[in-house]
Amino acid sequence: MKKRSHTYDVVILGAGLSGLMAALGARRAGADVAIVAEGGGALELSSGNIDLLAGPWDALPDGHPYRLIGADAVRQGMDEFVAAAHAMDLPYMEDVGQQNQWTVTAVGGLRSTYLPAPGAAVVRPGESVQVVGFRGLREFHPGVVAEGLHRAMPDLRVTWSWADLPEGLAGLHTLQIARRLEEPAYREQLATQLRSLNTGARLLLAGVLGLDNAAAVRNDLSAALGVPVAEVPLLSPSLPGLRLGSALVRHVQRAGADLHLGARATGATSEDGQVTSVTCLTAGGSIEYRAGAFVLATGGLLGRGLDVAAPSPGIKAAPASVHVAAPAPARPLHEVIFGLPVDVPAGPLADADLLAPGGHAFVRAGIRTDAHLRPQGWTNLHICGKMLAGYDPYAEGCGGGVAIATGWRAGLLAGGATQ
Amino acid sequence: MTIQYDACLKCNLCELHCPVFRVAPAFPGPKNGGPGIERLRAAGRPVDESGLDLCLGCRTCEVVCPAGLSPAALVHQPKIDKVRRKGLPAREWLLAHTNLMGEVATRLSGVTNATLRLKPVRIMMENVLRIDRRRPMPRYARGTFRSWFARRPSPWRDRPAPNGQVVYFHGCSTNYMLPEIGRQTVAVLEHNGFEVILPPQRCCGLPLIGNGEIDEARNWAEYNVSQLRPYAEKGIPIIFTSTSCSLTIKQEYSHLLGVDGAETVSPLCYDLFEFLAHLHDEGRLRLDFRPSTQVLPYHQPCHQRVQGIGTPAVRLLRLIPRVEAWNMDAGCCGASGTHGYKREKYEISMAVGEPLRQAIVASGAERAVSDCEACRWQMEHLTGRPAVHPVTVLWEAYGLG
Repeated sequence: MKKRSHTYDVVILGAGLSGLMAALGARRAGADVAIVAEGGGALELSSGNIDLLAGPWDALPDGHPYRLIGADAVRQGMDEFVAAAHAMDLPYMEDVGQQNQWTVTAVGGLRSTYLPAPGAAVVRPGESVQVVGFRGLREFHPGVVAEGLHRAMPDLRVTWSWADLPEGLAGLHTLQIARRLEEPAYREQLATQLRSLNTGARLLLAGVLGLDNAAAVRNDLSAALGVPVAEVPLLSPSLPGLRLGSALVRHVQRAGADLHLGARATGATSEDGQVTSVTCLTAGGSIEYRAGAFVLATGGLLGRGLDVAAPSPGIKAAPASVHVAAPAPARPLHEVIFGLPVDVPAGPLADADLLAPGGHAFVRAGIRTDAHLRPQGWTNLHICGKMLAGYDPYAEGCGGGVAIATGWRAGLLAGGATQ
Repeated sequence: MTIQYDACLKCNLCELHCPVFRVAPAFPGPKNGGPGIERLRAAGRPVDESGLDLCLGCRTCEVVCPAGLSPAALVHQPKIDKVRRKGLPAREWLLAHTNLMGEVATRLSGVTNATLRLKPVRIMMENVLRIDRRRPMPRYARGTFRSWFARRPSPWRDRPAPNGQVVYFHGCSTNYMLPEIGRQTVAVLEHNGFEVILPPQRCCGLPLIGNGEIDEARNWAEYNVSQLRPYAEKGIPIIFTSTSCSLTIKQEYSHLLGVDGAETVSPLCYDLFEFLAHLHDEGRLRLDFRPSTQVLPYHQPCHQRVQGIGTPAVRLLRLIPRVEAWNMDAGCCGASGTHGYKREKYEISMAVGEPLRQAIVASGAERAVSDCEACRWQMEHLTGRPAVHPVTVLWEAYGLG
């Protein structure tokens, strides 16, 4: 026992949406699974809404992850996600007819998404809504939201008003208010405050309605007020993403996957295209993970699964021993654990226009794979989520769907169940 | 450490996950209280350090930080500076010297335990020392674990143990309060063919570190390293049943205290279940468990989570036929060693533990499991239900009782 090590059937690198779905897929295939990650995923910073696709399927470029795994696998992954979410008391609902839905943003804009976070404010033309903010909650102005909605959907009937938070909680952080609303007595007081404002229109409240027990907070307020209550998410980090992230992390562990946080993967060993182990640095030193199959779900550039050039000294905070000797990059981007070739579109990496309609080239950078999500020449390494090349989650409106469907698929494949 | 703040992108993940920030508005949070203040200090600006003391040291911020920072270490630094200037207050001194208290208390455990349950005594402790009267005091054992170990004959006295030797670092709580954990650990290790060695040892120093007294902690650390190093040099594993002790010796001895030789000891340090999981990976763990239909919700101690070793206890408990075990992942228990005893922190400690209380109650289980004694005491206080060390479950399943 010279070296600290762990042996599993499947080791998943990364604990974001894609890695967690891969863990569920591998568990479904009957594998003994570990999720190994340096920190939490970015799910907690997201809106909690799940996009599937903004445009038509036929317009997807060749090599798009959806095309690689096929429409049936995409459908299967989404169904598994919805089922898992329901088990976590997060009732994600598809709209009848498979249409995207319009959710309200923090400034009253409309954003199209496939699966709005449970309780998220979704509006339809012709209905009446009342936007309510809380005095002292700095991140949210109901008048701004109402005006934005009025412009975005002119035939929506919108009114707005302020309410006071009970016990003078004005000025508190969103999380602290949400935490207090988990207490039934406190939300009863809030319902009393809101009752006087009630015009019978659906209420769109500032997004502070609870943390892990958000469904109960929403249901209690709706019951007390006699009108459906929905939430407009605040600026990032917003609570719906936190709720989904925390619940999913608990769910995968309940499903039998082991979560190893605080372990930063730095390198790997392989033989003839077969990964034999991945080395991680932890607070207690280096740990070697051995497995029959590995899933790479390290989140692309934003997740630091891809990196630009060598880390600049003085900026990175990790102790010197943690630094990876980065190879002199001949290409603009490199994959940090296996040194996989990164596919980068030709031409400039970024468009001068921040919101360029076609998106930025660097966003499409990633690893090219076969239909089994394996890079060429590798037999037991599967790639998923933002590590994959050939898609733009923002321009194509497909980030959540790709993470979920390729994660689930990669997990199933790594666990040995191909169908 | 001075360059740490520069890597903070203010992504807010630490704030989102911090168990204290959401329940204690007086706490500035890991982002503002850590890299935020550090940035101001580096610029020579005056800084407001109030509320930083509410940090529990759970290091959740460090686990979730995508930039690899330790906001907790930055939040803790002012306390270390303050103690260096002014010394430890009486209450902190008492709470942090767990081994000295233990030596005295176990000799007169009956009297100590009875005294600590007297209402007037608790009221006085609360008024004088600001130790909250609602927090149950741990009970001291009749005799120490070490005295039991010294009296018993080793099963390997006339032949070598088939799997070799291991060193056991039991920590203060096992020695003075929960000797049964030590006895069960020895039994489980011997059942798996190991000879257990018990070198002299002092408190790992974490209660001192947590209260800001790192110079004295360094003295203890040097003593422990001098005792453990000869075994580490021979490659003999060092086993822990308290996850805070293991974190301290694995990491803080070299990172925070800079103790000479700590880097030799650290690679040989294993939490008991980490060690047993390795044995299982190598096919060397005995699997002669009696089937037992049990639902075992497990709470991972924060100080084990930050070690990056996963949840080895859950892995092992699942090997017992018909056991259903899982990590609840319901956040910090709120006790954080000595913090939960302090009058001004009691309510925060209970509010932090509320999601864990709900998770345990929702499981419907008769008892919950955790490797850390402070977590277990808090879990029992929160729910009124027993909480056990995973070694107890294993020891029962092996039929060693």
